[in-house]
Amino acid sequence: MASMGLIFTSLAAVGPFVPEWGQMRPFVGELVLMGTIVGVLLSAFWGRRSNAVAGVVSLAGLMLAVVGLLLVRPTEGGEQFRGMLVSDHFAVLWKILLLVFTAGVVLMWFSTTRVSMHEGDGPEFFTLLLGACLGMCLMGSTSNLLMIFMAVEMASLPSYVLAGFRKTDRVGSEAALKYVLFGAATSAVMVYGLSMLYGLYGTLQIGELARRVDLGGGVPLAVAMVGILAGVGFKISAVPFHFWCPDVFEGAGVDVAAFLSVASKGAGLTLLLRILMTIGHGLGYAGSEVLTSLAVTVGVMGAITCTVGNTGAYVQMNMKRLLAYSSIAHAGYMLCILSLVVRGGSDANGVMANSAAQALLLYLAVYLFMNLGAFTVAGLVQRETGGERLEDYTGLGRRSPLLAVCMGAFMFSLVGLPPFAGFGAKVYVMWKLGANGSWWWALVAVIGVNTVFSLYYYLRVVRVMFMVESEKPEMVVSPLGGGLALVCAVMLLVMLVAFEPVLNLTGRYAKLHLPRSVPTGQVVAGGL
Amino acid sequence: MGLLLSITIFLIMGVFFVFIAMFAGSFLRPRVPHPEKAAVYECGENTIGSNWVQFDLRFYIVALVFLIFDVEVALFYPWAVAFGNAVALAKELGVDVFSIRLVAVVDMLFFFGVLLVGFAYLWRFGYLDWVRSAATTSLRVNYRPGIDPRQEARTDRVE
Repeated sequence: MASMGLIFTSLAAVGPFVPEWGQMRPFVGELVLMGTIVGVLLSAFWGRRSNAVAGVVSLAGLMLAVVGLLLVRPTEGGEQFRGMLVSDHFAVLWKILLLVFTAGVVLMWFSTTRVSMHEGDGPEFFTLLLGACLGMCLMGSTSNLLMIFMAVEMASLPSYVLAGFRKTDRVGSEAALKYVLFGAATSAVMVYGLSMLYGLYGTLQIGELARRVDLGGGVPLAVAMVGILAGVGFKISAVPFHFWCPDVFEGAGVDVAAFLSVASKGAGLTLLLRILMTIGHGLGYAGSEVLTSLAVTVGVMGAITCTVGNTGAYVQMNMKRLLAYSSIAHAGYMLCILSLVVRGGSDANGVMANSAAQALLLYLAVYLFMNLGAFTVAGLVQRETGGERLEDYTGLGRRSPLLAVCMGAFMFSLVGLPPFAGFGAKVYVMWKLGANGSWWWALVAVIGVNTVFSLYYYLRVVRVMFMVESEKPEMVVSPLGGGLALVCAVMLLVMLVAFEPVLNLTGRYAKLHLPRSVPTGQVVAGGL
Repeated sequence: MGLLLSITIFLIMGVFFVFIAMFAGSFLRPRVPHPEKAAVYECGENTIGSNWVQFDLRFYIVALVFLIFDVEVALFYPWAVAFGNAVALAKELGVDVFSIRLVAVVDMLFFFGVLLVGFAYLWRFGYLDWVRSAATTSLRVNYRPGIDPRQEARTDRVE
């Protein structure tokens, strides 16, 4: 009974948890997603497990979630559910981007993988896809150690199954097994790091924890941070943890590969950004050794990641593997962005606008369309020719001018060449990094050199499509797939022409709610 | 410190006693070596084939379903205890007992409802049937997860 008394007193300190609509509102995206998952399963009962019905239900649910999020005023956010979740501008825009992207992946499924999927597998596929999406939403809006682990696992477990969804495919099964083993190992390391942090500072809230960092940490703190970096780095496919990426992209269906290439990496990056900024805020930014060493670590990791990604892409003859290495390289660029967190500041309410958050959101918004488009074209070519090697793209300029032109646009944008938004995003990132001076110039140089290197393998695809003749027949492209690719390409053009508004929008949303400062020495009741 | 010491002594003594028993036994027991004694014991039967076999996926499905309900029950216990103590909690917080109980019931029904949808899905589409055949799945969908029963029947006949 003594423990019951303890529970009561701790409950009394924070009040009973009675969910109210006002508290739930900022999380309308997650709530709608949960409803959609149940809806997809229920649709199987009267829809005879129709794949198309499940796809339409999930598409409708994703759209509804986006609309719901657009109606939310992010200002009403802050820490909710006793600090388990945080809602702010940054999280809202990340969720909108993620949900729009997932809706794009569903559309892509309709135009590519649908034909080859067993009738009846659809409900399960979309349940897993939406479940992973839900976990990634949560990854973008938490700074609680327990929720971080929960969210990462919630995003990972369905991803493993999705990677091996084609049960009869040996390559896919091997890739899924590799993914599971890698994921299990890194999440074990991560949970070790998290438990170490809890053991050191006695709190699960990173904001609270950062205030106690000055109490000392030394080697255990460093080990804990390395553990967290391993777990998050696995989701981002940052360099020592990137080995799963090419194999999974090759073995999994093209829609799953596209989903993982943006959603998994984006979720990991948003989570890492929030962790770094919360620590920075708690420490007060003032020349903190911990924060500087973290930023340098992330920056160096980013530089190595983009270099390894680009050099790995050189020898790839398989389109999906090439795009996998390309996505590793882009994850590296985005990791470099995160090293900007050291420069920050926040107002009295703990709301912080940050150039790192803005640059990351901007880059993700552009990257989303580039990868969605490139994978859509890869999926359409695979559907029509049955191949995904570079030879299957020969003469695409004649066989399907629309797809070839779109793919050319995506490749140019992925390099970062002018008529497309990839150029704007990359230049903005380099400019922001350069504006910080000192060792950030090294990152600018690394990104610049990498861009020059990456020209070769991206433009090789363009060369194969337009300059190598082939006897292959013309391709019939489904209007939906062609339309999706065209929309992505046009979006990339529009986003460069209207770069200013896009920049302003991401700037408006680049605000993170960080826990209010508590005078040192005061212990928060129910600080768990 | 005293607790740690007694645990350490307990562990050491525990390990020690195993060896004591084996050591004493080696003096007392008769020594009759026989190749049969070194053979793998499998319920008194001769072993057939290797035990490195692939387990049927159906075992895993049953294990997974069990695990889900196991976790559910684990969550039900603290909930039930808290529900029973709602009167005391309400007195302490000065709120209506009914509102606390209502929140508790709605929370749990929501959780349980989502779980039940998944369970209904498994049941309806025959994942719980040990022998999956067209007769047990009333659906006329030309799809069976896992092994095709017809193929399975054929291999049975060969053996």
